[in-house]
Amino acid sequence: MSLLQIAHLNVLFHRQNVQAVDDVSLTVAPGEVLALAGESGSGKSVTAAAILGLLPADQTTIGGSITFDGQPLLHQSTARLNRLRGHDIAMVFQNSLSTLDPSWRVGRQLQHNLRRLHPTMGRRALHDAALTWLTRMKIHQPEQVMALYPHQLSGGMRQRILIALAAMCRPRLLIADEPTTALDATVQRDVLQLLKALCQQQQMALLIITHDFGVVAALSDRVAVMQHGRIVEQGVTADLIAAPQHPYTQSLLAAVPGPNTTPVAAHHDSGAPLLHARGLGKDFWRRETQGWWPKMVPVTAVNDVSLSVQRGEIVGIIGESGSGKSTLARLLAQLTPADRGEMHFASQLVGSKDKASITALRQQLQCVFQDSLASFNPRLTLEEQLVRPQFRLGKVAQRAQAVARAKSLFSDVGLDVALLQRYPHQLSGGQRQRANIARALAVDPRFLLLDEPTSALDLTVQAQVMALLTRMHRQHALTCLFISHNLALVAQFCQRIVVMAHGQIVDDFPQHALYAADRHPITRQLLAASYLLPVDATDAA
Amino acid sequence: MTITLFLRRLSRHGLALCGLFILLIALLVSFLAPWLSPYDPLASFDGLRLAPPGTPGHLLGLDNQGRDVLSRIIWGGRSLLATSVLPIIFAALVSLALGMLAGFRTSAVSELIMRSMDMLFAFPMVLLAIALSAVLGSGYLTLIITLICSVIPYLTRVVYRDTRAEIAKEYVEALRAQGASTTDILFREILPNVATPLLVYTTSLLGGMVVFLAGLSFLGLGVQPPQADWGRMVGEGAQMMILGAPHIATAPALAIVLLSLAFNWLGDGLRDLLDPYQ
Repeated sequence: MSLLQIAHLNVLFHRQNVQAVDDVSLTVAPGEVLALAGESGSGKSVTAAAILGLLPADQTTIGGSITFDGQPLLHQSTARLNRLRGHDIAMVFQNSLSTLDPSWRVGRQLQHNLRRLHPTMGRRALHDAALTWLTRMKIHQPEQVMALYPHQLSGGMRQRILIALAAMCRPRLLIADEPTTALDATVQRDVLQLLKALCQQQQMALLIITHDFGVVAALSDRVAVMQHGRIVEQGVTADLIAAPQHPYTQSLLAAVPGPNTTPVAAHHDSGAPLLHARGLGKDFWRRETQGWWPKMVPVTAVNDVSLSVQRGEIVGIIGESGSGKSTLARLLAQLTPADRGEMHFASQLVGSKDKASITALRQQLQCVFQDSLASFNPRLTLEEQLVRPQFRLGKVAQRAQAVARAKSLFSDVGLDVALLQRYPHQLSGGQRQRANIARALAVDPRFLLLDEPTSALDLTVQAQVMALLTRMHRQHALTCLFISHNLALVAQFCQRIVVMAHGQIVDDFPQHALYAADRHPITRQLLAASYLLPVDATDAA
Repeated sequence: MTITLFLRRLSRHGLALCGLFILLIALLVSFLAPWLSPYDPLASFDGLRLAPPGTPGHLLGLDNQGRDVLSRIIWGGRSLLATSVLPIIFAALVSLALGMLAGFRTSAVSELIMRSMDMLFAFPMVLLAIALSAVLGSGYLTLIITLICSVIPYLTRVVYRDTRAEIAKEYVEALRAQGASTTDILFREILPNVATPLLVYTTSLLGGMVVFLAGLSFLGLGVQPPQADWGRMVGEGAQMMILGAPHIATAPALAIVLLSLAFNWLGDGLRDLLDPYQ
């Protein structure tokens, strides 16, 4: 007897006239972990929303049937659904920051939910129960965390609190929608382990929605693969990963960065380094409001970092969030003035006081940031945003020239030239990141600084963007500094890998030496967290 | 936003079109008042005092002094538009400068600007109007200064808030990485993004300000008799209600409502039309 049964589910969105879910049939047995895998837009989140009755009734037509433990879930009243939602079925959403109430302290959110479940509990008992849950979620210093607001916590901590809120209902079915997508590799591994342990302890069934086959492999018993609203393949996870039948499943599997079987050719150019930084350091001031008077406490973000990058080299910088790698990127791009140290670019000293040296740097060094939507001015067409930098840095004299270059770059990065007339939000995430790369290349730089350029993308799109970057590196004779938290990805792309922790460089080695015995413990830790797929499976795919 | 795209969107937005249509008519009529108005707004027809609408030759009737109501509405609209639209455009420009200056960098200057705005917020504007009319006498100048002082704090806050929000966005950092100078960022990238919500807000605010101005005249703080003015016409006409002549107050009151609505509709419409996410 299955716990959740979905039969021939159809969801049609009226306004866009889109069949988001097309004849989907699924079952989840009690205590089973089922993964629903597919890219964004494949209809997996809509399926989850349909189970919980969260789809807007006036904008959708839903057909088929969903039963939970024999009771129908479709077309039920809110009151009926609420007897199940938050009791027998609970959900963990992807964006933990917008899911938690921003004006409630963590303790209050937990206690509020506990009180709903156990109306007779006293204040003291509620407080203790909330503490116990935080401890179970392996949160350190739970007493302090209870008094914090959601925005003061890291993404991983917030996600654990969301899981606690869902798990304390002791649901028989937990639905988790991309619960680890926004997290670092090491944090992702911890959260996945936590979810797995909870499932076993509470005999809870789990429906996990993800685009990452690494997550599928790490967690699930069975997997269903969705594409364009249909299930194209389903089966036991181990079997399906060992022998994927459908081409789409194969592409999803291939997109998971695995151990590199064909090492990146090591770089041999012993001339003067293109970029050379020595002893770079940066402190930030943080306001501490313990006690009566706020105190400003210095926090060292980057400490004594020396780095040189040879012409044509691809160097990867990895580290967890908070390790100072993004601050280092800002220091190198001269977006933040360094407190200590100095930097040479093409043998020229670059100083924050010396405007001419910074302009010279900008003509040579361009950046691509993680959030492609935020990196564009929302009210200008992409054409305008590709044309302006060319004028700013004096690369062109006439607008026609600049537009022609924008067009050729767009087709170069695999985008339709017609998209130049669009606004940034009208493109998909993958398209926008391509446009972002095209914009960086518009001024014909020698050096590309890439700060987590693919972290916000689906894995299949990530693979495409990485292929594009490799091609651009060759075509434009670029030197690249690639910042990421994913060691597996860096190892596929970079000739040299630099590991950062606590604002310092702790390890620096050529790509082929990744598995050498004398790697730093932090490197090993990142390595262990990066590969979720069984190693032989990536070879098969 | 290209002009053609804007016009195409406008043509599909009924309410904005409606507001724009009313405003264009109002502007046209005010501009052509000397030629369009059937009579001199100050000339009185003694035998026809309080004559109702539809009296031959006088479409909207006559008031208690025998003056043609239609002519007075045409001339009154001219003065109302001149005392509301022009000063507000001036106030919007001042606010744009002040708000961006205060918003783009935190400094002593920005504190000075924003705290002055707080003081203006705290000051009751009717009191300012009374004080000004005591010094300058009632008239256009009092109205205009009061109006400018009442809208500048609101508009400056809007510009300040939007400038702060835009400066903090990642695209500004991306622009700096592309070699954009501070003036470049401020005037070519942020100014249009800040000016758009300002335009929308100013237009909506004009609707309220038309009513506020008419209110000041109603209280006798604005335009002095015998000049034609909608607020004063409502004030004086209200006393004629009991004499069985409701048209004297109703006609200008309807004109005030219509003009105020037109500004609001246009403001709402502009918000939708200028939003790139629509």
